[in-house]
Amino acid sequence: MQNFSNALVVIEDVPTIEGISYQPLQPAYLKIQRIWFFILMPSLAVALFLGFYFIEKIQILGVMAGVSLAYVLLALVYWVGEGLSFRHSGYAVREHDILFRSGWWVRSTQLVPFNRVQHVSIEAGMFERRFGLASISVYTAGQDLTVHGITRETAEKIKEFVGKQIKNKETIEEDTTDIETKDNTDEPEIA
Amino acid sequence: MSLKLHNLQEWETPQRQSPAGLFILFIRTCWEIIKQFWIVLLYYVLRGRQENQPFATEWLFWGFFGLSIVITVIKFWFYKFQIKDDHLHIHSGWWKRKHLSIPLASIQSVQIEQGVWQQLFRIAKVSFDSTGSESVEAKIDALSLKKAEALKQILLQESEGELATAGETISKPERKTYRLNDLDTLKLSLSANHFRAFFVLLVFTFKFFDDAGKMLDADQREAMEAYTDQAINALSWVFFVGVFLVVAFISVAVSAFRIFLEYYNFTMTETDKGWRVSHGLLTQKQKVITRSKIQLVTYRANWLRGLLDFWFIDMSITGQDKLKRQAQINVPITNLVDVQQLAEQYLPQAPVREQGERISPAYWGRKALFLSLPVSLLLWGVLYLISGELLIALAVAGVVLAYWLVHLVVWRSKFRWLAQEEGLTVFKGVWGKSYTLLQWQKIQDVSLSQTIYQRQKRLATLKFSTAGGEITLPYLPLATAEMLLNQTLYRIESRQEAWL
Repeated sequence: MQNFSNALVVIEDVPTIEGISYQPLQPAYLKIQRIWFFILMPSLAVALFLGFYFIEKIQILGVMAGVSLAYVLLALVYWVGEGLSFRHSGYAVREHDILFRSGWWVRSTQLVPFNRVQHVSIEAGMFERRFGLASISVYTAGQDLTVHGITRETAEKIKEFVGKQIKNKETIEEDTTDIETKDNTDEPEIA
Repeated sequence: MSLKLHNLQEWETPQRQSPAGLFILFIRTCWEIIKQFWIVLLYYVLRGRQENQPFATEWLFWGFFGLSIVITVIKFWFYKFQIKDDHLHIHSGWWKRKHLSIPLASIQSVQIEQGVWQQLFRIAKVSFDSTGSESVEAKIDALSLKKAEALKQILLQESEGELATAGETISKPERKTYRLNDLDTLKLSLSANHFRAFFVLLVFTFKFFDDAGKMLDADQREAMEAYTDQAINALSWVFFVGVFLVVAFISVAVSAFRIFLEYYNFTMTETDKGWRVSHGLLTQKQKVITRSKIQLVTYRANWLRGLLDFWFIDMSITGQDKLKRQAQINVPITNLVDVQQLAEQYLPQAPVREQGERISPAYWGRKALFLSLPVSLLLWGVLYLISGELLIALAVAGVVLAYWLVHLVVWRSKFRWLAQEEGLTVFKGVWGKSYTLLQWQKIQDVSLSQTIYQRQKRLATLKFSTAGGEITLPYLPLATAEMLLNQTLYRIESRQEAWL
């Protein structure tokens, strides 16, 4: 299987995704994740406490101990997982596509070619606005790609760049049917 | 085949639906009102006649009847459509006026549908599939069949940019036709997977016995339970086998009958741009499949159909807007040669047997460890809590786990994928067979993911998304996954190939 030979095109220098340098997310994004941790986990604790207080049927020491242990484990995994996921996450904008990698337990890299993009939008939640951050979503007819934890300026730049690339593609499509040559080594300066 | 086109001017003046459709509109309006006020209606009907309000239920009925008639007439009167300035205009509503305007060029397909009532009144429902999201609401419920056919022709010609003028004749070459005869339809009906219908009916039967018991008073229930216990003790296996067989027979009969009605007189005719499909006994459906809109193609046969060489081709079709409902058209075909011919119109070299690369054996082990085992343990716990029988719960959970493991092992050993010049083919199957074809240019985005285990073993899972569904290649060697991803991206990005 390693000597996979069903080549799509016989071109030696097909650009690769290995070795791409991803731009890290803004540290403030981790702070926002921590704020959510301190909102969600105490809320869950209060809900559990009320549950045990009012429902007599589950006021069993073993059940309470089990649930408490699960709560502590969940909190621990949530906290550590967020940190590790933040360290791994990053985005890269190339000439023809945008990449976002994320995850901790399951690390994934999603890629969207610009010639499949239908529209782009920028969103900023309450905490994101407070820290000057935003998220950019790239919509396709398949799965969408969202890059969180970038500055508003970066999001605007990416949006502008993607818009320009989509326009270029449309112009090329209208003007000529020649196959476009491609060089992914030069990444645009967006950071 | 040639057809005479109708004069466009005929459609320029705003027109209403067929008056024969008033009855159908009335039925639909009644149903809408019932859906809105069903709780109130149920309350009044169940309450029955009260001493101080002797005519409440009757008044409610007449009020409901009158309201339905008024709404029907208003809906009918204010619903108008016309074709003007290269747009199909639909005006509707009285209180809240609505104007829907669809460019004719964006109309991808036109469907004509006839239910039992429509057949009775010789009218049809016409719905449109366009590249915009608004098309979901674009339909004309009641048109005379003749007018519906004429409208369909005009819309399709206009959308193809061929202006229809009076008296103009356009030749429409039609090629191969796939047809199911009555015997084929019967085979199709009987060979379907009836397990779902069987289990639904089985649950319903036991629920019925349970509810019947609850409706009796305490003494009657005791007597019935005592009688049932006696009966079960005496003839337990006969009783259960009998119920089982009756339920099995009814569910197969009902399920087969439903499929027979659905696919009766199935005809699929090849046209320039794709295919025209019509089928159905009570509800006759006509659909137009535009070849370029097909995103993914799967042909599949369950175990029994595999033996009979009877296949289903599923075509995932979509418009440009992802919010639009994605459609899947299922086409029954009676032999693999025809299946291959049809599939090759989407992707050359459509496979008819398993070929290509396998995935890592680690796949089934990891799935078993992290999915099958925990779920089976959970099932064991839940069954034990419900029944209190430790061994029975263990046996049931054990059987589920064993079947699941066999399923995973067989699924993994049969799975094949093959990347070719034009696209990707994937073979899957445990009892049956399923081939999925994907043209490279239909891909919208790609993702590569790795769990901790996969990272240690240098494996990866690759997922291709299209506007009509996804294809996942699990547990590939990392180098292969990366190479496939790079090549796919190069193919999509370096060529300006239309995906719609």
